[in-house]
This record gives sequence, structure tokens and C-alpha cells, in this order.
Amino acid sequence: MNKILLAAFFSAAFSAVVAQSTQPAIAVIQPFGKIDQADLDLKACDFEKDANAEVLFIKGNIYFGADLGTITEEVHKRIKIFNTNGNDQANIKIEYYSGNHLEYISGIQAETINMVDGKQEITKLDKKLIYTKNIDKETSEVTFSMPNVKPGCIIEYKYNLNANSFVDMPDLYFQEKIPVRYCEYSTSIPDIFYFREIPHLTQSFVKRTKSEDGRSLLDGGQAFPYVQENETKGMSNIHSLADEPYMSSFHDNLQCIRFQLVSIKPIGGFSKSYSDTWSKVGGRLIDDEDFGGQLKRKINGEEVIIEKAKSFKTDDEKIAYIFGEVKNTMKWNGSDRWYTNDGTYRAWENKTGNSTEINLILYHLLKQSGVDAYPMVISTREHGKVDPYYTSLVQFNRAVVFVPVDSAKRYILDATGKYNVYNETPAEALNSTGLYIDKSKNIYDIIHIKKDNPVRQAVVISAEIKPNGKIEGTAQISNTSYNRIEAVELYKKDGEKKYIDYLRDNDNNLKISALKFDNMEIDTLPLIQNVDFNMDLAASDENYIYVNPNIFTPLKSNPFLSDNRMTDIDFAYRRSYSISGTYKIPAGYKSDALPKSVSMVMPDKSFSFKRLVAEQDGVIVVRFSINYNVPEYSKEFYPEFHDFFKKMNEMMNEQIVLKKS
Amino acid sequence: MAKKSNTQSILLFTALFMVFTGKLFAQSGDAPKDLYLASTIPDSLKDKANSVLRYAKTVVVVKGPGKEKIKFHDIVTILNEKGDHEATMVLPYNKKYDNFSAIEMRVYDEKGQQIKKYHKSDMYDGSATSDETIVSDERFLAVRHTIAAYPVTVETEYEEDVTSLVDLGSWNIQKNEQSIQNASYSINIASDAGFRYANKNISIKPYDTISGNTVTHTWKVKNLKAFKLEEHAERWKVFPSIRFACKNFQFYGTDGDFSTWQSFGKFIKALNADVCSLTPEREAEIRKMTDTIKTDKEKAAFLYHYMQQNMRYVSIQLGIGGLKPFPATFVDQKKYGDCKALSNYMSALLKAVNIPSYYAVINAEANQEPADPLFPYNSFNHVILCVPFKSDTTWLECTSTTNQFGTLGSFTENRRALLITEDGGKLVNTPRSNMTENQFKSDVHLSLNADGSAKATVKIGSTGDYRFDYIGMSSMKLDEQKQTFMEILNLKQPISFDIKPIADKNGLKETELDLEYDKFFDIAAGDKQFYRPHVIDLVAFTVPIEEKRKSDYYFEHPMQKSCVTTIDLPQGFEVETLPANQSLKFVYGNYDVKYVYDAAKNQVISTAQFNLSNQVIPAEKYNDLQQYLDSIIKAQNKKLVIKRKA
Repeated sequence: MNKILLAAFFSAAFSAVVAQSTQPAIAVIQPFGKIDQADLDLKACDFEKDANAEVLFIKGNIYFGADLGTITEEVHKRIKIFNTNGNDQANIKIEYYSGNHLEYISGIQAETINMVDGKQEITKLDKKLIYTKNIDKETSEVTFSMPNVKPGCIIEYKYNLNANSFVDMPDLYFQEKIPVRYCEYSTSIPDIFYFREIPHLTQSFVKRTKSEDGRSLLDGGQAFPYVQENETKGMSNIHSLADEPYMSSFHDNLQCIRFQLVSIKPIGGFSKSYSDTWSKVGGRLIDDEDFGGQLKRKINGEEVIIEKAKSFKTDDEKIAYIFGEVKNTMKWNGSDRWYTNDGTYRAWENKTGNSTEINLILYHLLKQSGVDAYPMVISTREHGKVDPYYTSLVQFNRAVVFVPVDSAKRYILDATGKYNVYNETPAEALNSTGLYIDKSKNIYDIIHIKKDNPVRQAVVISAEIKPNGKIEGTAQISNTSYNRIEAVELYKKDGEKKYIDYLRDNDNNLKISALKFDNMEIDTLPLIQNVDFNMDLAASDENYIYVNPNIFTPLKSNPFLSDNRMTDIDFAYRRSYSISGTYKIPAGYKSDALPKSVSMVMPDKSFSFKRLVAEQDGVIVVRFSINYNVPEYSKEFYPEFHDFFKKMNEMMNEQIVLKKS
Repeated sequence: MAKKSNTQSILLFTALFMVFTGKLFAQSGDAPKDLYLASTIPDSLKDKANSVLRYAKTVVVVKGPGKEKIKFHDIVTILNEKGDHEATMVLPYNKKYDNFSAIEMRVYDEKGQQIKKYHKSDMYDGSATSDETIVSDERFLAVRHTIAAYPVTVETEYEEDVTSLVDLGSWNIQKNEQSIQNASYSINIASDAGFRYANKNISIKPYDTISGNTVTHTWKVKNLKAFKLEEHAERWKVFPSIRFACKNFQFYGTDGDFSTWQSFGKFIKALNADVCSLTPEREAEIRKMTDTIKTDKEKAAFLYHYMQQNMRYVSIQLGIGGLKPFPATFVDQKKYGDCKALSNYMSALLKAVNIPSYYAVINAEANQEPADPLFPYNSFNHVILCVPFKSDTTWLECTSTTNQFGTLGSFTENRRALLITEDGGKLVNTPRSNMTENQFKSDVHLSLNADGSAKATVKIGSTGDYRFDYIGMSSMKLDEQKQTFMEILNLKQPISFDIKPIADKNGLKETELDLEYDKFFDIAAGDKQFYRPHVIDLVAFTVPIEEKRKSDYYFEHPMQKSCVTTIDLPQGFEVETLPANQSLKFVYGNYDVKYVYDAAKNQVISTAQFNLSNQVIPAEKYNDLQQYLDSIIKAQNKKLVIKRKA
């Protein structure tokens, strides 16, 4: 890469032009070794009182090397440790990409600062105790453990991360697993390179300055002038990122800026455009031997499958057949890449491959059988959402097959999961963007992938309450869509006994005497589970019988117990639950307390709960109807959401009380 | 709940030796062809099995102290995806002392047709450092085959050349949910090498052949049915294995003698000899720090606290195979160390004030295996310190910043440790804590209002392992702590929740929870309100119903739990139904709950107690345990009904 840049470089700096500047209120970054007494005296993080440690500041300087062929990131980080639980922060690990000597670490300095007899005592890290570890062929790690670490101390360290490549622009992370008081990055990028910023930020900067330097690159006495663009961005009081229930991927939530090299401006006779539109990205996919090159490759024995597929009348039958063939033949090796590794031919021979190999085989067979199908790259939910403005393949990690059936119906096929079905978009692909291509039709387009209809679960219970404090009856549980897939998977993987334990929620009072499935093998119909059960109503005594009508539902407990929420709530898809039970009152008893009929809706209609309770002719009927009308919900409205789920959980578990008459 | 400081401190003390466990060996080419066919597996071996070990042959040739060559060959048929790990080969090694060659993994379909072959060049070469270990010399080679269809047969062969050993490892004969058709293990060793072996959970005997001055001992097993390790059972009590050792060994170039515990202790002693003292200046400082303290025991307690406050635990696996501690002077300067370094440092502190102490190697984690007096063998993974005061021996866990002076907890209690004394190794029992040393005491005040709203104060006093749990919890974020309390105590979700850590003194950790509820009753109708008559569940667990329990059930420790709940009834209300008193008994404990209504104060007071005197429940008592716990849950579930006064 260096060869396309000219070797000699004179730092012929011209007068700097300061474009804009906003001064931060406080001087939050200090030189190495200069420690504010207030920081040593600090007892807790101002904005996250329960933190065991806090990053006081991170300062990163990113600039290009003399020949413009390298990038250096100078990092200086200072951490305050509040208590022994924060001690682990003093074990430092810096991972880097060492394959092909792409990156290396240099200039490590580290020290611990304690207050001893009213004075700052600095203990330097012994350089001999810095270890470099080869993790594998591609990655290495520098590790060291800070000396003299005690509650109240401050540790700080600096190092340079050097990259032997001008495209390897480091990601700028503002957020960590512990709170960050201040984080500032300065970048100095020659205007020869145009990097597009891909920000993922939920807070605004407290500092932002820009300036320019005139410079030139010299070769054989010839000067090539360019402008160096300097930018500094600072953010303060960044909360730690925790794991929360129903949170989307870490990648989706971490505040950071990533960079995409879009173009290189020609100087000295080189020119390369990295500029991309989605159609250009699609073109690259087509040109790539490990993607486009695989689409038309024959696989061994395909004629038999194609011939059989062609014998079906409808596309649906063809799709169902081929999907089943590929899914059952191929075992996913667990790897997700947007490109093939061994290629479709080898993968088919080995009966195993990465997700893209499996799904490009699926695409190929569908296409050859006359189905209007497109290869499409997506990003799994764990990998993180695709940013539609970041036109780069790095965002994707899996290929699937896109089949637009008609204006109302389209299939997204993924044959990697043994329990996936052809007529359901894989849950891992939801709420993100896919790029699908067809060279012959010159189609390179992105679509948003979502599940429109709510995923339903219905439970119908018909039971008789016994005078000895027992209940006996039947339940019919009907699962559609992802609920169906999950139930089938659980049953087939773990077997009947484990599945029954799951249905019982491991409650020893609840016994299942029979379990029968309908439609287990018919993907297009709901899975029906017919359950015969009996249960000890443990709370019952000689006068009262207590029945909790929340049986066989997935809504027994409330996952949203936390008072605060840092990330948006992500259910992935809309949900709808209906639980309906009829309970026969035993002779000699009558109802003493019944839950009330109520209905509760979030002001924005995002979630609703309804309970209907009635008693007639010795039978009590309880009906719940619960709807999650949105797949995702903003953390902004968490207080209302939290309250709703708390109330809902209480009402779900409100009991029927019968009294001996 | 995990005790962070403790679980961290399990070191890969024995990592190197573990390398040799689980390896079975052989000469290739002598396996009958039908072993590659899935169809020839007898039905009896498929029952409860995820995989079947069709054939295994391990041949070990011990060349001399610390030197052995291993030939390994096995054939496994994998029946379903729960056996997939059998198609993964992981070979841990050390660059200097351990070399693998002739590695091959071949994969066959159901009919015995080879479908894939892997070599060393296909393997991933990685650093065997866990997240919590900061540095280690250990590495591993690994390769995984993805199985497309079942059954599939995987054949593995390799040779290993080892030049550093303590004992001779073990033959871990059977794995969880794997049956064995045919397996053998042989060791060829000089007849005067002092070879010995010990069977565990199996009683097979070797067949010996003598040739010149070496003997080959060969063990064989056939047609072992698969079984599944039960929940809360201990692996070391269940799985069959044979351990091997001989007299002389060489470890990382250092010679040792493993004929007795005493001689092995001498080896460890020698490793520590040049690292177990502080500088004279520091020793003088330490003496000065303690010179006003009268008794040795008080001095030791002072220095233990000094270490707890100043040093931190960091896992480092360097030095002689992770056996030799970092010098005491290193810990003194850098203020950190692993279990070996911190125990050695504590010993050096005590030495400075003329208090003798013994480094003690042990197996850590609840209910782990004690050292076998009859068979010296290095299966240890942790180090603690023993201070032999005249009248009472004191044990110190040096990796913890929170343990009380002289208490160990379930992490290392109640098992034999190897003390490293002046005369070499000596096996000694660590103390066993009884139920009164692991107490959970709670005092709850619940005050109800007529509209169903309520305020509750829960005061919890915890000792022993409960104390560790509650200390561990305080490192979590506040929201996580609240959730954890809701889960472990089965709290109803409050509208307001405050956690007040009160004190941690003399081994008693006190915590207060202040809770507010908008509606505490389960349901109200007419003049009546129905209540769960407590705020916390004293016993919040049951065990599953099992048809026939085969192995003993282990709790982590004995326990004594109690809860007194005082409920102020709302004004204008009185008791309609008081939950019944109950008294339940179990062979190792009892549960009692009593309810009293004080009409004058309009208070209901309940007193509940749960005792478990022994943490090991014999398999034949399992059903009793399960029914006993179910009965407790039922007793706890009874309701309090109150009604408006007429």
C-alpha cells in the first residue's frame, strides 16, 4: 500500500487555520503523572454512584505516519478505583491484530498513584512485567498488572497502537463497562483520504474543534501539497454499558465512532475510489469470487433435486421442498461470514459450511428450479444492526435468500437453523437491513427486514377444582411462528422429559400426565400441545382454596425489575398472548374473591393488557389478552413501561379464592 | 452465589498435569473394521449415551523421571448433537516440555466410509489463558469437525512427547453420557521405578508383562454402560479413573521424589526456599508494626488484615509450571500475587515476627476431593496457609480480602490438605464448619395499611458462606443487587427499594432492605384481604423429582436459617385465618413455622426456622429431601386472611 504513496515527506507545515472551537468548562485531561488532588480524594463516580471504578479520562490522538502509509493512535487513560471490587480494572489487557504484522503496540508507560501520608506516591510499572502474548495467528495481547493497587488509588497508562496500513483507522470507543467521566479523541487526517464517520452516539459532544494544516508530501524533489484536517471531539459523563434484559446487541448500543475509507484523492499519479453506493457494494459482491463467483457453481447431484423441484406446481411447494433438502443435508458449522470459505461445491461435498455457503447453495437450487430468488446479505441481531448510510460489506455477516412472492408476501430463507422454516423470516435477521442483488436484472437494493404480524401464543385451560385443594384438567397450548419454532426445537433437542419440566416450570406441585402434539411436522400450521395436568394448590387450607390462573404461560415473572434502563427494549417482534381458563368450582365451595375485569393500555398504545373474569353456573372464567404492539421500545419511556410491566405481572398472578360454604 | 474473590483464586496450579488426564493411547491399525460401523453398536450401549467409545488404546512409555512418550488412539461414534464435543480435539501443551506429533483426526460416516481427515496443520494454536488469568505459559492446539449427519465416527490418533512431569497422570476411563465398548491403557515403566496406581470408582486390575527390566501394566474395560452425572452430584465421587505415579520425577528441570507425601512436600519446600523471605529492612519494619501487640495470634491477625488491605489477587501462571510462587519480595513491592505468591508472602510476614506457618496445597471449591493418604498424587489447584498455634491451628485464605482471620468457608473446608513443613509434606484436615457457622438470620417488620399498601424492613444477618454471598453482592450495581435480592429472597416487586449495608463486624455481615409496596395483598374482596404472610421466603428452592437417585446430593455447606416476621395489621382489621403452625423433620434437619396473633397490638408474629446439619445427602435419602423441601414450600405458601372488624 505504501508504494502508491510517495515516500518522502516533509513536514512543511503552513499556518494553521482554526475553523471553530468550543471550550469545555473544565480541564479534564492532564499530562501523564500530573494528578488532581480532588481526583485522589474522590469517593464515588458523580453520575453513577454504585460504580466500583471510573475512567477519569481517555485521550486518544490519531494521526498518520511520515509516509502516510501508517496510522498511530496514542492512548492515555486514567482510571480511579473506588473499592476492592474495582481492583480488576488494574489488570490491563490490550488486544491487537498482529497477523501480517498489521498492528503493534509501543511506548507503554504505566503508574499507580496513591495518597501516602498526605502526599501523592507514584509507583511506576516495571517494564519487565509487561507481557506480550500470542493469542493465535491473528491476534496478540499486551498484558500487565498495575502495582500497588488499593481502594482510592488512581492508575494511568499510555501506549501507542501502530497500524501498518492507511485504511486501518481505529474505532473510537466512548463507552465502557465502567463509567467514563471524560473521553476525547483527536484525529489528524490528510485530506488525501476521505473517511466517512459512522457515529453511534446517544450523547452530544461537550467539545468539538476543527482546524487545518497545509502540508506536503515530497518525492524526488517534487512537492505534493495536501491539507491535514484536525478534529477533536470530547464527551463527558458516559454511563457504563450494562447487560439488560431484552437488549439488542452490544454493538448496537456501545457509543462509538467507526470510520469508512471512502476515497483517496489522487496525488502523484495514484487514484483509487473507495466510494460506494449500495449498488456499488452490490457490484462488489457480484464480482467477489467468494460470493458472486459461487452463485452459478454446480453442486454434485443437483440435477436430481432440480428435476424433482420442477415437478411441483407452485413456487411454494418448490421452495418448501428445496429448503427442506438443503436444511436437512447441510449442517451449519457455526460460522457467520458474508462470503464463502470453502465455496459452495466443497461445502456441499462436506455437508457442512458457513451460513453463506449453505444459503448460496439454497439460492442456486431455487434459481435453477425456476424460482425468482435473490441472494441477500444481512447482519444477524447479535452482529448488530446495519446502518443504511454506511455502505460497506463489513456490516454484514450472513447471506440468506430473498424471494419476493407478491406485493404482500415475501420470504427470507435461511437454511442454517435445523428448526428454521421456509415461511418464517429468521428471527436473527429481524429489524435490520439486507442487501439483495441480481446482476442480470441489474438489481442492487436494500430492504428493511421486519415481521409484520404479531407472534401469537394461545393457552386454553379447562379444569376442575377439587375440594382437597387440587386442580385437574386439560390445557391446549397453541404456538405460532417463533414460538412454534422454539417449542419444536426445545422438544426435539432435549426430549420429552425435559420439555415437560419446562412446561411445568420445574414446579413440583404441577404434574403432567399426558402430552400430545398436533402439527409438529407441518410448518405452516400452529403447533398444538394438548396437556393433561393436575396440580396441588399449595396455598389452600381447610377453609380456602387458592387458584392462580397463570398456568402454562410464558408470563410468570417480570424481567423488567430494574429501576433504570440504559438501552432500548428490544422484543424483536410484536407479540400477542391469549390465556383463557374455565375453572369448575367443587361442590360445597363458592367463590370468595375473584380478580376484577380490567384493561390497561399504555398511552401510546404500545402495550395492552386485558383481563376478563366471570362466574356462572359454578364455573369461573378468566381470560387474559396481552399485546406487545411494537417490536422495540425506547428507553425514554422506561418509567411508564416499567410500571406497566409491574402491574401486569401482579394482575397475571392475582388469585381466585374459593371458600367452603 | 459465587464468591468472586474465591472462585478467582482457583489457579491452574495443576494445569500442566491436567494435560495428561483424559488421554487414552495406542498403536494404530489394530482396531477391528466393524468398529467404524455405527450399526454394530449393541443396543445396551446406546441407552443414555450421546456417544460410544468404540475403541481406545493408550500406550505410555515412561523413559525416566519426568519423561514419557504417549501414543493415543481412539474411535468414538457420536449418536446425536449432544455428543458433538467428541468431534473436537483439544491438546493443551507447553512449548518447552510437551510436543505433539503424528496428529490425525479422521471422520467416518455411518457405513464406515472416511469423509474427512485433519492434521496438525489444520489446528488452531492458541494461548490457554482464561479471562481471569493475566499471564500463562500454557497453550493449546484445537480442531473441530462439524457433523452433518448422525451417527458419525471420529478416530483420533497422536503421539505426545513429555519431558516434565510430577505424577504420571490418570486414565479417566469414562465420560458423562458416554458408553464404552472397548478401552485399554498401558504403561511401560522400569520395574524399579516405584510405579504405583490407585483405582477410583472402579475395581479393575492390570495385567502385567515383564520384558527385561521394564514392566508393562495394562488395564482393560469392556461394555460399560453410559450414565449421566446427576444434579448436585460430585464428579470425583462418580466417574471411574485410575491414577498413576512413580518414585522419581523431573518437573521443569527440577528433580523430585513422589514416593510419599512427605517427599513431595520436600520438593515444594525446595521450590519455595529462595523466595520465602522479605528483605531484612522490611522484616524489621514488620516487627516494628507489630511490636506493641502482645500475643502471636493477635500479631498474626494484624498481619493478615495488613495483607488483605494491601495486596490483591491476580492470577499469574508463570514460573516453574505454575508451581513456584513469585518471591515474597515481589509481592511486597508490587502488592499483588496469585494464591501461591500471597500464601508465601503471608508466611514471610509471619516469619518476620517469628511465627511459624505452613504453606498448604489443596483442592479448592465446595465439596472437592480431599488428598488421599494412601496415594500421593498431585491433583491440587490452590494454596492456603496454616498457622500452627499451640492450642489451635489457624487457617488463612490469602486470596480473599474479606475472609475473617482464621476462617476458610466451603471453598477449602473439610478436606485434607498437604502441609509443607520442615520435614516435608504432611496431610492435615481443614476444619469443617457446622450449621451455626453458616447462619442466615432475618428480622422482618411489615406494616400493612387498610388500602393494601405496606412498608417492610428486612434485616439480614449473615455469617460464614452467607456472609460471603452478601459481601459478593455488594460489588454489583445497585439495580443488579435489587434484582438479585428479589430473586433469592423471592421478594414481591416493590415500588421503592433501598439497600443499606449496615456493618460487617466479627464475621457478621448485616444488611437492611427497606421496601415499600403500593399493594401487598394477593387479593382483596369485600371486607377481606388475603396475604402471603411474609416478605421473604426463608427456603426458596426445591429439588426435582427423580425416580431413582444414584449419587449423593451436595449442598455447599450446612446451614441455619431463621426468619421472624412481625406484621402490623391495618387499623380496623383483625385476623380471620391464621396460617397453620407446622413442624417438619428431615434426617439432617428440620423446618418449623409458628404464627401468633397478638390481638392487643393487632400484630401477627411468625417465626420460621430451617436447619440443615449436614450438606451431603446420601442418595437413598434424596426422595425424603425432595418431599421435605416440597412440604416446606407448601407450608410457606399458606395465607393470612384478615377482615375488617365488625
